Amino acid sequence: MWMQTGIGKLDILLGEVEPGSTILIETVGTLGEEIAISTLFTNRENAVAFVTPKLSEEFEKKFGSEGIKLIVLGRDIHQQELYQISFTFRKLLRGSCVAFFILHPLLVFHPPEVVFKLFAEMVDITRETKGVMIIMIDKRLVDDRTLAMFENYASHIIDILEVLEGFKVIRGLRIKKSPIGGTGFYKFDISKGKVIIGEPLE
Amino acid sequence: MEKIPTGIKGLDEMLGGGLIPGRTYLVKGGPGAGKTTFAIQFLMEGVKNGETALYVTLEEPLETLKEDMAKLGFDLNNPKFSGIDATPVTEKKHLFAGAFYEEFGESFERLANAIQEKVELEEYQRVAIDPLTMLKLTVKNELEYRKTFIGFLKSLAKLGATVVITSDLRTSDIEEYLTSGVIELRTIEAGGKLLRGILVKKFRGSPFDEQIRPYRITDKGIEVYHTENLFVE
Repeated sequence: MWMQTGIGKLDILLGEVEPGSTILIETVGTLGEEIAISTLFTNRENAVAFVTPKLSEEFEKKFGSEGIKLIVLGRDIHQQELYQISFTFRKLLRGSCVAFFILHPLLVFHPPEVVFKLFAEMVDITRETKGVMIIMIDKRLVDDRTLAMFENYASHIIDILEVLEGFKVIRGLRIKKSPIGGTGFYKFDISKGKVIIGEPLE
Repeated sequence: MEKIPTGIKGLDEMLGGGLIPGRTYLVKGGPGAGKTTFAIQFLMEGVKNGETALYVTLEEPLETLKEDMAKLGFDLNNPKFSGIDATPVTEKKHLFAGAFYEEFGESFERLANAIQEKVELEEYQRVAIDPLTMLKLTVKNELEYRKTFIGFLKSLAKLGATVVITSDLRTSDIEEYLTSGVIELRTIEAGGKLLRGILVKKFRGSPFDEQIRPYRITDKGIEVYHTENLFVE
């Protein structure tokens, strides 16, 4: 059974997301976290999210009583104790579980190489347990070399870009890596918490 | 090959089932690393399985230890557990039959003999000596120390018990060389938090996990995360 994000056009662009896959969302800040929210909501019977305290509040609001399992960094797990993250991840990610993870807070506490080691371990756990992991990284927190290391381990990459043209903000999304190949940039927007993927950008 | 559990599940996984019985092992680590907890956990695992255990404390008074270990759920008043308090005393006190702490400090032989006498009276399957450091520091001559340490190990080997010796010395080459196995408890500070890692440095006669693994000292004793990495630079 393939996993779906609940965003029709994105599911088409991504292609099949088989159990054991890792989707890396390369973004700016938390732009595009709605993709993760939609995916978790679509797979809410069996979903877990490792989030910051701020994101956990947003998730709780969004999911309400249908709440998914939330592991809050800095509350349930200390960011310094990365082994607690892999340990909890290993315990929770069983079967068709869909997990979301945000790397930003860890990159503040640890060098990128150390965070990469954890990421590589989590990719292996995801593969072994046949779960699906969606992992978000702020491109500004790592250099190109480190980003390339992360990209090598992911099975799918969603690249989100934000550029300024004068005072105009243009946001784009592309599939940088997937088993069916990459795509060009599409117009990307968020409206009332919904992800809108528009026409291809020139 | 027969193995006996240490009482620390994750460590037993690292050791492929536990320690090889009848041998002597060194557990080393700095202050607060959990060496005493390790020693007690090892002994109490034996007690839990109907074995008899002997604990020789050279640093922390036995009564204080009993209180501390009770908080971790270890009842040191169990009849199968025997404790010998060989800690420094302000006034000369008899520790074993006719022997004084100061005399142990002068020679390992006296300590070994005292333990041997105790073990001859009652058979013990598990013995822990915690820590060796105090004795080593009282022996001025290194060569003399080496000779007596070898003799000490030989006398321990005759007991037939599995022995755990703890040490907080940074350099313990001779002890590491002469014992059947070395387990190191390390502490690393990361981002203002103390991370703990356990490393099996040597384990004669059996394959073992050579990776440093995280551990915690919990309200139930030492807990080793044998499937995880420590993730440090």
